[in-house]
Amino acid sequence: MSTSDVSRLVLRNQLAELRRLAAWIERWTQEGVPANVSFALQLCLEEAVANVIMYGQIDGEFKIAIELERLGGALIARIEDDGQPFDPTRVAPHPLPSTLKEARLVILASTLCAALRAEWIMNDVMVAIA
Amino acid sequence: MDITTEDLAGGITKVTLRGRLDTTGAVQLELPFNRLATEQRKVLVDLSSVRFLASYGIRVLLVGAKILDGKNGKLVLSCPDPSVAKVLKMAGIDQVIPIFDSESAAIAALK
Repeated sequence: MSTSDVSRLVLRNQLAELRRLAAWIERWTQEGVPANVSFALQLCLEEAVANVIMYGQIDGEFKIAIELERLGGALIARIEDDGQPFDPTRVAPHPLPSTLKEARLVILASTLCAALRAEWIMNDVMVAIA
Repeated sequence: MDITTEDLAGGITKVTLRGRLDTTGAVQLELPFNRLATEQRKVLVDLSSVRFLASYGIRVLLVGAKILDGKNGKLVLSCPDPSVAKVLKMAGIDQVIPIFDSESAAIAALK
């Protein structure tokens, strides 16, 4: 295996495109990527790209480019889009709910992404959003 | 996303989900699942055939649980695979919706 292996996918800002994203990641991670890392990669990119599609629209159609790179023992994912600027790393962490009534629907994605970021740091997976 | 329902003893409705409960799957599931939560009182959701779960999927389960809770009903989850169970835990859902490793334990919790 080469020390650097890069693949790129360009999606339109439509939810139906998320299935293309999932299939692409599954193919890309079939060899040499543990199943739990593949799952985490799919989850984090699904959350990030779904967020761009649902909330990043300015007017009409725009493109979202995702790049995956294997660099030595690390995986690097980059997301670039022309939607509204948003930095998920600046969202303050929310406490986990302790009752059903407390559980808020709108913070699920950011809660998951924050938890994944913490886990990925331990697993040599990096995500860059531009 | 495939959804099937089965009536069990004790007024329990078992809902079996199959496939990816990702954003696309959750959008398909949302309306039938909300309708079911509105019509039933005790719902057991079998997650054993769900191989991926994203936040929109969790949102659908959470809305269903809230609908049932609002009318003194109950929703429980059973048999998620380890990756799906981990996502539920990361989102804190294991603290607000009961999750069981076996169907018999899930049924007992609904009785």
